[in-house]
Amino acid sequence: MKTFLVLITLLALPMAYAKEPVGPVKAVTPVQPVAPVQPVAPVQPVEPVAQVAPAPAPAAPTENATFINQANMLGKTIISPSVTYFSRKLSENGTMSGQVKTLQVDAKVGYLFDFGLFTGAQMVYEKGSASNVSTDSYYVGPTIGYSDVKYTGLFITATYHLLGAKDMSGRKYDKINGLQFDIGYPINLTDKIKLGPQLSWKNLKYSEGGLLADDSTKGVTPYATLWINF
Amino acid sequence: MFKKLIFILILLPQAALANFEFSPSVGLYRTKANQSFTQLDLRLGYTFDFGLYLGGSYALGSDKFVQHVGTFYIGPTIGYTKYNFYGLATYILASEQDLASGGIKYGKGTGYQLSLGYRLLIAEDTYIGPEFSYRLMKYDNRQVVGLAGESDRKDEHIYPSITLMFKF
Repeated sequence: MKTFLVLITLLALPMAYAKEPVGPVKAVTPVQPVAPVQPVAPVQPVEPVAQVAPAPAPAAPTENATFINQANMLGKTIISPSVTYFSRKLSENGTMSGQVKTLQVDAKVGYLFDFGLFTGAQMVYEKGSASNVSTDSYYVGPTIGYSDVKYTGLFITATYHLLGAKDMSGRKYDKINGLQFDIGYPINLTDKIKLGPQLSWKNLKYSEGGLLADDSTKGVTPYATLWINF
Repeated sequence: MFKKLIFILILLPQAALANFEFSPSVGLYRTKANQSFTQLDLRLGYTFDFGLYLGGSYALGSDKFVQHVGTFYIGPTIGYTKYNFYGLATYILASEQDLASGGIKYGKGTGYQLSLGYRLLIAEDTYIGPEFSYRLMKYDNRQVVGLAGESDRKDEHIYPSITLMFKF
């Protein structure tokens, strides 16, 4: 019986090989070439799209939106008020040793072109007191600058102050001139308002009655600044 | 036991979403060469997901307004952040002031500082913002050329800063 089975098996093997030739028929069948159709099937490439979809990272867009929405300031009139304040009060054994207070409010008004150029004017108002001397001053000048508002919120402006006046406890300066450079980074608070830090450098000279006085301002100050578009 | 439960059920899950923050803040105000205030405040802390900030602050700087001094401050800080606005309160445990002339030093300084600011995202995990601070200090010790004595000195400031914040 065993030998029978062995024989059957041995016979069956060639039969199996004999069926192989039938295979070629299949091979001949152009169905295989159809395979190339598969690569043609654009369904596969669609998958990557599916992969892009998972990128939805819904949390990120809110933060990225602050960058994307910057461009809404372009081609618009801008008003930019900035403010800073400093004070120091020193006392010893209940007696005042000294006090200094200074408030500075700057306001730029201008037009921000589509390509980032800013042209306008700036007015500065300062009020302060130190050692019983109070100071009130204002100065105005044309401003030019550039804002990288399309991508970030960064801006740089330069102002040449031409007009102004200063009153130091009765002593009046009727001429002020000098330069001011501002660099800032305001970012959208709403569609129309941006808020951010600003650093200002000023170098101003005060003249009195046509003579150059020895009083001047040369300093650096951080501000909180708003950019409002119309 | 109850406190442990609060910690496990509330604070610990929040911790998974929260992060550490390093915030150098530069306080600056200069109007003339002999009138300037400069300060560097280094803060390190932990912000929970619900806005609470816990950390510490070390600051050093100089002030030439009224009286020329060099100072340092150190203390724990607690704060809160909402819609990118933040408020911080620091209790200053230790501070000293060195006068630029006269060999006078004020010690045993304690006080507090309140800061308000607005932070803006400028890059991944990096913020910048304007900040205004109020600080009131009291110094109980005065040393003149090494000789110590009692003092009742108060120093009060309001100053602007630009603050960076790095999350990690």
